[in-house]
Amino acid sequence: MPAKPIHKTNAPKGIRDFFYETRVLMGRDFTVKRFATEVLEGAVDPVMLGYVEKGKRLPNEALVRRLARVRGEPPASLIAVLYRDRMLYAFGRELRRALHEPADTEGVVDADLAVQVSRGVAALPDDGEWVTVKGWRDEIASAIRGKAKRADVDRVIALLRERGLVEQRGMRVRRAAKHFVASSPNERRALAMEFAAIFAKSLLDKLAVPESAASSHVRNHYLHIDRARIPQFYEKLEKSMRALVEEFAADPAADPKKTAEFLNVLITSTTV
Amino acid sequence: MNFARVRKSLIAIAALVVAACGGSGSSGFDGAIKSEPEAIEKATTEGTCVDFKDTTYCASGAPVLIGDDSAAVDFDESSGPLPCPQLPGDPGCTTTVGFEPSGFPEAAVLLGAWAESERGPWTLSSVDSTVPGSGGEGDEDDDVVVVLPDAGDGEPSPVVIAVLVYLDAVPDDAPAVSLRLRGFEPDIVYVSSEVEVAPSGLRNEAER
Repeated sequence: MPAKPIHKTNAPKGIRDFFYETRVLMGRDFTVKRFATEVLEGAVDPVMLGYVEKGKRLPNEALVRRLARVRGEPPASLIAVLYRDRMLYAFGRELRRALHEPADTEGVVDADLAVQVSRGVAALPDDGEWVTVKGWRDEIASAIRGKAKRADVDRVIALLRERGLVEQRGMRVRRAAKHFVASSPNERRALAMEFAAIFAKSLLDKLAVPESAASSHVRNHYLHIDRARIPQFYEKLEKSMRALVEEFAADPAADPKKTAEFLNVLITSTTV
Repeated sequence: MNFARVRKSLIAIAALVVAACGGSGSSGFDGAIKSEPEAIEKATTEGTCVDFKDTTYCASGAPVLIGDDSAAVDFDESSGPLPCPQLPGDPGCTTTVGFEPSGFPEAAVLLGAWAESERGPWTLSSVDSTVPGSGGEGDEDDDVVVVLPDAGDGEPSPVVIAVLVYLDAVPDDAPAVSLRLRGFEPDIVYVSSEVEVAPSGLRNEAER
């Protein structure tokens, strides 16, 4: 029973989201149990499918291929998402070990907070124009995930207010600053997971998903530099990048409701 | 449609055009320090020294370079709330927080200050706590004197202690209270982590 082809959105997705989205779009009668037994033809236990949709377990490759058939699309993109989630799971596990943190926290969903914060900041005009709180809330909710909960949006808004990134007067809000600094251990881990997800997706798009190769840019620039000048180099790099990002964000065609994509530009630089 | 209505419509369309552009931002593990409380928090959290607007903010024990030599201030660690007795007739309870300076030049002058949090306001400690620079021999423990004016309820209060280091001289017009430590115009500031002060009742015991 192939479902209608599903339109791509630019919301960040893990493999769990594809399972959930496919089931929900087939109709409200498709419970987890019915979807597992009828649509996926018993290839997965309903309880296990529930875990997959919640991000508590990762599906195997055969199940992802079966889902791609249900969606009526080639499996390569979904398989790449599965690989990325596996890498993130392993990265999150090792990161917690490196930071001496307990292992009972969720792995794949760790990056959610950082992703939501970036969407909340980018949903406000760069020039400090006032927008309605309701419009801003709606934009965050539609950007961060199709099944975003009200609590998720409230959490992002409270955090951005607390950090002085937004200013609110009555029912209007505007940006006050642009740079979010992860301070608590939980925020730092969430940000590390988000950065790892961006890097993993860039590499996989370039190497394993031919139709997405052009949407990623991966390049290593190298040089010899006096150690004392490294801070100056980073300062100039940051200024150049900020100017470039603001130039393109100001383009009237960069309307999130039209053809605009959400582009992450991850900069990493280190000595060897 | 009159002129005012046309003008209103044009403004609304212009606002929509502006709002249609996407915003941008960034996130990271560190960023430019924008305020003194941020500098203090970063220094005390990371156990280091942080420069902000011509003043260096340091955590207890963090070495700071003065010429070719390093110097530091170490605060005495207390295991529990510091007792803060209030004598009859005193405006508040009084306690002291010890610190040990090392490596500062002879000409340096150290003053004490305290606040309820790193956000201030900061109160200069009593003149008795002014200590000479600790260059050369004879390094000794010194104290920052804290007088809590409102110590009536006996509940422990958090305070943060600062040692202000002047490498040359203290400005003549230094205020007694300043919202920010840099209002005292020091060269270097050492800030303690939060200390609990427990007002205790010598007066109350005498009344029993």
